[in-house]
Amino acid sequence: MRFIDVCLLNLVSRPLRTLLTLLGIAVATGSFFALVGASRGFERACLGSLNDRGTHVVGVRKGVVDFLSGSIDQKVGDRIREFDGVAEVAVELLDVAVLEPEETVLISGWRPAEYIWRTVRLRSGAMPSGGEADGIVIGEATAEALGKKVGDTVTIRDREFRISGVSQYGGAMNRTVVVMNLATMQKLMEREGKVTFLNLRLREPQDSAALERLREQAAGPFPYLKFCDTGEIVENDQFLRLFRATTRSTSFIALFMGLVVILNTLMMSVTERTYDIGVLSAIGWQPRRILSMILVEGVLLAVVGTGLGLLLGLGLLEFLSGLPQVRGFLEPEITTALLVEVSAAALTMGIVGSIYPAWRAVRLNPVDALRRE
Amino acid sequence: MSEAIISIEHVSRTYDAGKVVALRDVTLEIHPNEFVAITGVSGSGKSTLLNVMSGLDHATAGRVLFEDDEPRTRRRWAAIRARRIGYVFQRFNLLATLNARRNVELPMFGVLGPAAERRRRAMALLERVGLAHRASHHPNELSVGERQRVAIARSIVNAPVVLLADEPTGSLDTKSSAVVLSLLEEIRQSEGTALVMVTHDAEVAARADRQVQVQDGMIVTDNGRAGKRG
Repeated sequence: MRFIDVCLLNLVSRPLRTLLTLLGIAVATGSFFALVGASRGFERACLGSLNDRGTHVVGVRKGVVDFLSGSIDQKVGDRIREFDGVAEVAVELLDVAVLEPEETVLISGWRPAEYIWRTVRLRSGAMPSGGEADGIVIGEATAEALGKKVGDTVTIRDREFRISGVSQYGGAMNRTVVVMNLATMQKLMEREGKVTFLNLRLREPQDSAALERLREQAAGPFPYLKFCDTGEIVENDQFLRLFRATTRSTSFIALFMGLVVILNTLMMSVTERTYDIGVLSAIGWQPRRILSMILVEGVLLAVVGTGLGLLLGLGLLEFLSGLPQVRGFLEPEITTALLVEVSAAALTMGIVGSIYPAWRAVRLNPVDALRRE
Repeated sequence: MSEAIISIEHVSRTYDAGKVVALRDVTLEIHPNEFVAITGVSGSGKSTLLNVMSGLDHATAGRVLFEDDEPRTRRRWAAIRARRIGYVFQRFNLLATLNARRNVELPMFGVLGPAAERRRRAMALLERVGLAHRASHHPNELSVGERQRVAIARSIVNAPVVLLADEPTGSLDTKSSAVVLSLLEEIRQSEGTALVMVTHDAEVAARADRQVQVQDGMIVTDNGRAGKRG
């Protein structure tokens, strides 16, 4: 018999309690995994949608809480196109809308002939012609979800649109996006002459000073604008920050619950095994060994519970990303960093949750403990 | 005269801030290979004396020496109990979650390794107490006599110099008691181990080399060589 066998047998000898504890830990770590994964998946989807379009720099209004609530005069794009170092500019109006009956999608309005149209990969159909107000291109995921194809119509805000093309992007967000003529969308959203942000392509995107030069040029005429690279914009978006903070705090609450579950289980276990611990002490087990036994039990619970939790979290994440309400807004990615983070958090939970019960076990007076038979 | 294994010098043990006196100025020596029976009525302080001898309990006055060393920490006493003292309890004190072999292996952690060696030694000792065929049985599947034999195997697994037995036959029928007593005496004879046994049974006590009678926490008679000291 190895030392680890003693710890395992202690857990196995109370199967129901061990199973319930494992479930508690699994729910805690699974929630942590799913929430953090969802937050990162959302950021990844945002970043992917910008990168798909070949955007190097994004121009947004300073002080807006989130990416979508920005409002910039569309003529600003024409002025910035003349800045030194700027290759191309595409203004974009972006919003969320419901495609009847209940498919939540991103809607994007683009001006005809701007470079952004060239980045669209079509699976079928064609781009709407410049003057076609009611023609739209819809992402393949949306087309599949609605069972629509080229030539069919969809209704947005009580107005009917004809699908002229189905796009095929790599990024999850773009796979659901609906693209239409900017003027049409401005009218539909009652935001005439306004766009949400500016997509910029630089002449020398690898030049680290290019963005700084752009900012200097824009500071005078457009002090209310902020220019960031795509990573920065996702990092600093207030809505994403809030989402990140919410998922973080919720996941830490989940972890805290897991810690309490371990603490409670091991406290019960130590109390129930007071007599056994007295026996171990009487036959010469060192306090350090008794302490290690309880700690190892806690860590074993955490490790197995985390394994189950990761499976549960993966299932949750898949489920979340498949919901019609969020489809396209989440691009789940299971990274090593996330796995390490969840495992480290769970291990810490196991150790911290075992320390007090282990200390209690070591403090037991063997004679008193042996009287508890 | 051989050197004492355990020397108890003017030891007192009180509880509840001195209101309850379990041992009062007790002086006693235990020597190699001797069989000492500690007798007395319930509550006289016999078990407390055994607990103080093994470091399971501490003296509130006086000192306890083990092989001329005065252990002062729980850690030190634990090391002595692991390697030098074997303890046999009235209620066997086997862990219900472990089978007989694993119970016997328990004291060897930190003393003997690896796991295969511990297993081999545990099986050899179960063989010695006639229970090799019951090695995979849990305590609740064994008779009380068998449980005590497993407990004895566990107590000698690290070849102790002294066996402390707290009423080892107190929970057994006559037949099992005889088997257990024979086993303990056989171990003492073959290993040269000292045996200190707390007992109510006058017949059992009569088999000992020395009889130490405890009353109200004091040694009132000791027919052996060192007990009259102090």
